[in-house]
Amino acid sequence: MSNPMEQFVIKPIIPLKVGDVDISFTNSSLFMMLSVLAAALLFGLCLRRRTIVPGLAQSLPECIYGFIANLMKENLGPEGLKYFSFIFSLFLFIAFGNVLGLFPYAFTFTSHATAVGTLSIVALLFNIAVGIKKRKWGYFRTFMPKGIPLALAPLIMPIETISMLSKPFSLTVRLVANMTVGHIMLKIIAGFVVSLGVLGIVPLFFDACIIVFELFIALLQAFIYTVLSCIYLGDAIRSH
Amino acid sequence: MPQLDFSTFSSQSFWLVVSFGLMWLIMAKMIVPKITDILNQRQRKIDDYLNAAGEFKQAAEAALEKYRQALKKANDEAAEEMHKASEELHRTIAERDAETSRRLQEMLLENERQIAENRHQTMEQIEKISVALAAGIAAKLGLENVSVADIARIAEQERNDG
Repeated sequence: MSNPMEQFVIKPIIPLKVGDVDISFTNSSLFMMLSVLAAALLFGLCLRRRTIVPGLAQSLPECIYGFIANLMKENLGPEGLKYFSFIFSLFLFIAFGNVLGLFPYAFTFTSHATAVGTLSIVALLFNIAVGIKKRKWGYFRTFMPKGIPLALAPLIMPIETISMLSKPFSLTVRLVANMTVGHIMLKIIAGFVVSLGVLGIVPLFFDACIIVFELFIALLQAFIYTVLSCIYLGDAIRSH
Repeated sequence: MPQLDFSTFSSQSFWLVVSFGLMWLIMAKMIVPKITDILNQRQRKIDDYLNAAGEFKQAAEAALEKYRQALKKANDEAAEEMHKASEELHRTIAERDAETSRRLQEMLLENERQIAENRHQTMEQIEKISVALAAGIAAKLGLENVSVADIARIAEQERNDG
């Protein structure tokens, strides 16, 4: 039976180096680009002919748009729609990354903490930038909320800092753990299909069921990531 | 565990930033404006239809109000006409009543006069017959000194006393 962790190995396709830093184009990079391409192509094609009364194809992007827009209105209020493109891209990037990873021989870049961690840091930096732009110096009140006695500052400020930094960490761990475990489970059960011979049909059926479940998890995790990002963005633009 | 292979960290981070940046750019510049545009167009169309429906409703309400006023006016006019007709009728009835009463009164007086005259004539007749009867009875009894003129005088005296 092949090693179930083998599917997570990053293999360089085009080796690249800038100074001492390795920026090789790898299978992970390929699937990141494919996610972008798939999302852009699908949405581009669906929105090619736009009509006031939407067809089936046009309904898909509109439904996702409506879904994310409602989510943002609930968490950020109507003014939050200014940052719609960012949250929308975040959702699509993760959703397409997760779903593409379910195809046979595909690579799931969302199963790597580095990739997801970088995305979460990008989201955190975006939150900080939006927070500072909107609230100016008031943003730093996040670390020392109003009404807290000054004497507690040495205690509160580290706690608030850790709280802020733990947000991208929790986002990353949740998504990575879900993706990794799902794919390992699929691979292990798939291994039994071959080794059990004719009886392999049982794990094959089981695998087929898990694939459907994983598809649901892939979209659910993208949704959870987006919801939490929305809430964190809301925290950044609203004072405590 | 391949996730812990530090050598791939820089490449993953770099390409993630690049690809996510590209995704953001495509979504912000191409996809989202298209969706927003069509949704806005739809909203405008719906608003237009709603406005048009509102205008139609107002027009219908105005027409209804006009109809109600016209109906009220017609009702008022009809009520006034009926009032006039009723007054006219009462007046005519009163006139005819008065006329009938007057004529009845005249007829009554005429009849009373007639009755009085008839009565007078009848009384004269009765007196004449009574006198003739008394003269006949006196002749049969052989009272020759009792003349018709005496009897007539007695009858006249009786009538005047009575």
